[in-house]
Amino acid sequence: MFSFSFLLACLAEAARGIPYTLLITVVSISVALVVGCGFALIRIHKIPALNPLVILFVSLIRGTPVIAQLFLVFFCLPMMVMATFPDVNLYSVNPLFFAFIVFSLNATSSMTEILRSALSSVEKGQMEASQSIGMTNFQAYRRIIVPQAAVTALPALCNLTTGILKMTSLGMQISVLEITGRAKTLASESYRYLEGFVACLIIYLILNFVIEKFFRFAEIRMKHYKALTIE
Amino acid sequence: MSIEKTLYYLGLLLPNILISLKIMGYTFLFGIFFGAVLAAGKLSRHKILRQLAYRYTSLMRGVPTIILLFIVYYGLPALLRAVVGIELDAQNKLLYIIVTLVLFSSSQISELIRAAYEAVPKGQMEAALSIGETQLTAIRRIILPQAALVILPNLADMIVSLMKEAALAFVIGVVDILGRINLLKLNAYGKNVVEMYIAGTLIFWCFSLLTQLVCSLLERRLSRHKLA
Repeated sequence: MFSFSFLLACLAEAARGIPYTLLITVVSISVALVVGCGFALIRIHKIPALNPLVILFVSLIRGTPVIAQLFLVFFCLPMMVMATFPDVNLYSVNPLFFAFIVFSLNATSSMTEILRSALSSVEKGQMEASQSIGMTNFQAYRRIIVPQAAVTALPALCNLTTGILKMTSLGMQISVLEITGRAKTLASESYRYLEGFVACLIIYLILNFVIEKFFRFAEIRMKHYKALTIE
Repeated sequence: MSIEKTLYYLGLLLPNILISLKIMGYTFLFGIFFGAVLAAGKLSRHKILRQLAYRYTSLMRGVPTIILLFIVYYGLPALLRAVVGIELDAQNKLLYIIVTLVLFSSSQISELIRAAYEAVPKGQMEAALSIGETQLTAIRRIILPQAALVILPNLADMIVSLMKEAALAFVIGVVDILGRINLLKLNAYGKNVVEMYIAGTLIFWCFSLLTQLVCSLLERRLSRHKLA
């Protein structure tokens, strides 16, 4: 039968994995913000040679299961690196490192699409107007374009963050000790898996709820940047 | 890493995508049914039904697929045994992944159906009825072609994301592409792992590209119904 006392034990154990889950999420989103911004600009300005590469990258990452990418990187990266550099030992690397790589790639590919559509949703006239009053391209982006694009992108960013957070539960498959990994390890000692996973479910729901509230708050704070649409 | 071995494993793994397709087919079949029920709930006049449908959707958005899969896998047999006294056949693992994906996809499909329903103006139905179409023919000839156009751009994304989630089936022991790789890995004593995973990933990728191609062709074909 379902044991509530064991559920509580699992909750406590799974909660110890929250820092890892959040760490992976924050690192992936941060990497994605920087790299995705560059990729989005490449896509918008159609920079030759780089544009097709970014399209290929996004298609590959979004078109294959995360779990397959995770295994590909976890099993193949060490072998391929060590085949080229024999004196490097990647077998003892913390699996967290591979999780960073895979989830950053995934966050970056989605971020590229989000930022691309957000940046191109800002009217062309805004850029032209900024340039006409003597701003440089960079100033125009920073002061005029990005604030407006950010407001448009916020709901999608919220989805991306919760999506990555959910994705990190796959880290268990390469033995990262995040929420799911810890709960499963504890549950496997007594074969009470159901309680373990229900504990995970509760924690993920709470975390996602907090993230959504945070983004809702940010949306309200940034409302005054919202571009007025002229009918 | 060698190209020949990768090609060899491509051929070996390719038939196993049929398992994924089977999972996806059943999921769509039941997902559309429950999605329609859920969409009806969201559009209904009763506040409780509406709330219930929306709560369910937001609940499903917050849960990682793998967690729900394990909960279904460990919980469903116990639940059925306790409530209706049915013993589930432990060998039929496809059932668990299909139940999990239906739980998920019905909430996504309900959002699509709702969006499509709201996108077609009410006047279309009224106009169709006024020229003597029955409700059924009006839906088939007037409403559906227009609603399909709203759904189609999202269809490719949906199929691909369903494929990505169906790929989790191997964690409960279904022998799909990743499950087959796990078996092959055991037999090969850890050799050729790189080629196996590259081949598997390539198959998934090709499937996504093909899906997107077919859907965009379909969209172009159906666009002739588009309102000016």
